[in-house]
Amino acid sequence: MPGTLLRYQAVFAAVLLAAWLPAFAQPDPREELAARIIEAARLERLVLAEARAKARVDPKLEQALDDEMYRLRGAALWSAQHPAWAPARNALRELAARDSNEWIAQFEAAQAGKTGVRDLAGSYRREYLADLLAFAESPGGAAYFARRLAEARVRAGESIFSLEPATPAQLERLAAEARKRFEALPPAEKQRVKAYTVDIACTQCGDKSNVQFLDIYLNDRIRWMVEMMAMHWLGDSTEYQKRDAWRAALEAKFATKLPVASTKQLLGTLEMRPDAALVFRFTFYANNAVDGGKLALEFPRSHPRYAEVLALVPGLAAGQSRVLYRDRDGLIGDKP
Amino acid sequence: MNARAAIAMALFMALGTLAGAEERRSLIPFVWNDVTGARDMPWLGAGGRAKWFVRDTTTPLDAMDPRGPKIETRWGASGGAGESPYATGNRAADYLERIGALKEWPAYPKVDQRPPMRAFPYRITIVCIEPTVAIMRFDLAAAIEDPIEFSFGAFPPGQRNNSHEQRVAGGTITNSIMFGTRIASGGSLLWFSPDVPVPPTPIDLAGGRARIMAKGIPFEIEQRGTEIVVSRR
Repeated sequence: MPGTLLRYQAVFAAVLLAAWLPAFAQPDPREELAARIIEAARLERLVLAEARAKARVDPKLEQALDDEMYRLRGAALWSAQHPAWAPARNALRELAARDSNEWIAQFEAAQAGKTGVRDLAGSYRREYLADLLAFAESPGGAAYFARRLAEARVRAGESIFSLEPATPAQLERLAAEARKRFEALPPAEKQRVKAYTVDIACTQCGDKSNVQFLDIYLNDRIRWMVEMMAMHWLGDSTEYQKRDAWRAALEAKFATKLPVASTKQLLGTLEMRPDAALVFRFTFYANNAVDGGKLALEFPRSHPRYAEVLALVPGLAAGQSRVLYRDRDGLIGDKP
Repeated sequence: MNARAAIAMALFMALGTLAGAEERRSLIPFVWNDVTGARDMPWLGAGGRAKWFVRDTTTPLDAMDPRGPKIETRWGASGGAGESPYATGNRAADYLERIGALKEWPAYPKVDQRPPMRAFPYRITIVCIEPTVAIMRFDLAAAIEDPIEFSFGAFPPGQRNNSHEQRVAGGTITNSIMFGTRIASGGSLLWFSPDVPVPPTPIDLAGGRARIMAKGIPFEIEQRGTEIVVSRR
């Protein structure tokens, strides 16, 4: 009977699946090794420091600060030349840095630490991980990784995305101590470090040392962490309330120094050139920046709309420029 | 994708479909429905005002279509005989591009494969269809895409409460093209017609009134308070 046969097949498949699933759910033994390696070599801190070094010079982070500054006041009102720009931008950076420190602590505890273990465990054979753990726990390996981390922290600083904020001087001192400890290793330990970090471990796979193999994992992880940092700099994209609070803090701190605020739409500037031609300039969002695009509409004296444009800013003289605003009824003028 | 995510996705799509169905519940499927409502519609050639029609051709098989329900829109005397309002708007903008009326103004950078938008400092209102007649009002702010909270200011006061229903596509022009028989006052006026055809031509409203003629159809243009009203005798 085909129906009965089908039922037996279904029951058999279910039993097979039930037997197979628990086996599949067993933890990978490499994960325990990976967790111990990360702890002994402080690899997650090394990833953070190297990622921070890259994030510090990432133009996206600087651009994000500028964008936030232009949300505070429109691009027609100010730029880096304005006297309040630099102090307000520094204050904004401090607020963002504090937030980035809180975020990275939470991110490491809840997510990044676990994915680090999984990634490391999934990237290498068990034998390699066992060797790496033995090296990381040896005096030579511990001193090697400690020196590497201390030097990375000097390069990266601890100003943003930091779990252990420290001044550059403190970081320099720590690096000097780490170098000293490394130099004080007995010859046998130094030889162990050389054998693991410099000597070729595999001639058929690109003449790499064991640590160079580890660097493949570390570089991937650093790249990923840099992306995470760029995404969470100035808060997550949905955390507008946080950014609103920062802007309010800047408004309060620099109340008298910022350009005049307005509830109107900030259009751009109208300039009268020496030849009396009128030029309406404005910026717009482009190339991932609030002020990434700029356009200018020109109205020479012979233009049929010249008088109409000039009437928007009575008294504008050659060489002068005024900011244009538009109210909710669509009326344009130079009053904020 | 795990089972929980798949169930969540299915629920999300089902809820989306239900919400759409709620919105469309007043429509009779597969026929043209007159949903003109409170819209200030443009004139329809030598007749009265155009009407706004929609037709829902969604079938149960479209439930999983990520583009949502299939709604067609037409304006004119009837749904069957009318043209898509968005096609009319695009045609008006294309006409200006074709005759070189936009080339004086700078273009925004190209985004994806779309042609670049023009920083065109005029608001365009379609005041008549069949033939299409539009009025341009000079407004420096029109060169910039309106932020939502300021977009109402482009419309005449009488249309501001339902301004989202008074606009159609605008081709390569920065902001949407508007339609109706009223225009916000302020700024020089010009008119044009891609169907006659007539390139942008100044309207002299010095005495508060003006008259234009398109394919033998006369339009009276009059300043009434803060609005410009386009009527027919």
